Amino acid sequence: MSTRLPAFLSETELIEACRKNNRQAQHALFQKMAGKMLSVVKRYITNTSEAEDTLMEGFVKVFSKLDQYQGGGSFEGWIRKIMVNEALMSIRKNKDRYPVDIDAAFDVAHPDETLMQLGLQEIENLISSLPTGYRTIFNLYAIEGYSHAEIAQLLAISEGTSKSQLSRARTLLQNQLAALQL
Amino acid sequence: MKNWNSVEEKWREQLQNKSDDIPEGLWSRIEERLEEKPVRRFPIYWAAAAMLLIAVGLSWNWNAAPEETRTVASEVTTAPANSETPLSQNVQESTETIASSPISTVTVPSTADQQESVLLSELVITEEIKHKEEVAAVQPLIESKAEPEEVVTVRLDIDPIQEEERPVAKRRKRSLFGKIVGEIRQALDGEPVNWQKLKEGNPAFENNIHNVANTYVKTEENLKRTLQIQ
Repeated sequence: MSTRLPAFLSETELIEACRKNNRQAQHALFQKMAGKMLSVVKRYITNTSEAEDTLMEGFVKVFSKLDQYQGGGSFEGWIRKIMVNEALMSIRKNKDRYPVDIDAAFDVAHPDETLMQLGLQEIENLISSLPTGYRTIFNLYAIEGYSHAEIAQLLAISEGTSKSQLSRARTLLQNQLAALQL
Repeated sequence: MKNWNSVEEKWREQLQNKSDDIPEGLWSRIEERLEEKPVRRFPIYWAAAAMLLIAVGLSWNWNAAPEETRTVASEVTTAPANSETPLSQNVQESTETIASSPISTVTVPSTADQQESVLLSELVITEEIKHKEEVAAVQPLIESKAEPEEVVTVRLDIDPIQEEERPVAKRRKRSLFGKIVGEIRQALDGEPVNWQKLKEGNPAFENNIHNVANTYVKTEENLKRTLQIQ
């Protein structure tokens, strides 16, 4: 893109300009964050065009809710949270993808050493091979760092379900790795 | 032996800073969305406000004429005065009040002994005013000026204590809006309601009902057109 963007000295300055609806500042913020955020969204939504739509909705929300950002925590973290919520909303639209409310616990074997050696692309492929429900909970807990209580609240499920789905996801990852190695 | 937490921590570090290529045209789509104006929903509020204004307007028209006659009744009520003063001195003729009404043809007693009968006649006057309010409302004021010899306004002096003790039921005429609310309450209580009586005594109101109905139909059509309801 050939558009010349103004040099914003600091993140605070950029945020302030975005709050004033400065289109160039908003473009600059998009350029700065969109790649990372698309990666976040794609971990939840495997369909590319759906992920892009979600990213777009997420940025529209970021710009419209910017006044709510108090500046207490990381700005990138705040945007990431909006993107995750947007992705969850997109998943919620398809009820069939929702995690089944199962409280049964799964015995998870210790992770294979190979899991520690995987490259970035392999990790992504492995996670995206999980069914949506398991993938959602694994991403929220293992990658984003949400607690089971927070996941339960976000997805309107019980904490037990969140825990059992995580165990199931880990087992599936292990099995998937074995299948790939074959 | 590794556990899952350490695996996940490593994965988190690796994924944390991963960035994908931004597809072309995505910013343009976002820009379009940012330039979209919020959906305007005011037509519904405007319609509601218009209906409310019409109702208020009708209510005002309904009460405009009777207001004038009510002032007559209040003029007949009195200010405190010496009871020994001959009442005849306080009688004033005026052309400001209703013509050809029974109110104007009161015979005023001239002695203090007849004060009681004055009070009674005043009561009758008040009652007559109530009954004739609506008739008087439609009579033009000019008519009263045309026959000044028949017009007499009576200002009576009555002891304020007696005034307070009088069991005069001053019923305030309800506004049209109040009447409608009353009828709705009655309907909610399951009692039969005669909606036709709302227009009694005011033939103009019948036309106004048609105006309201027409406005409603037009508003509905406009809303359907605006919202594209089939």
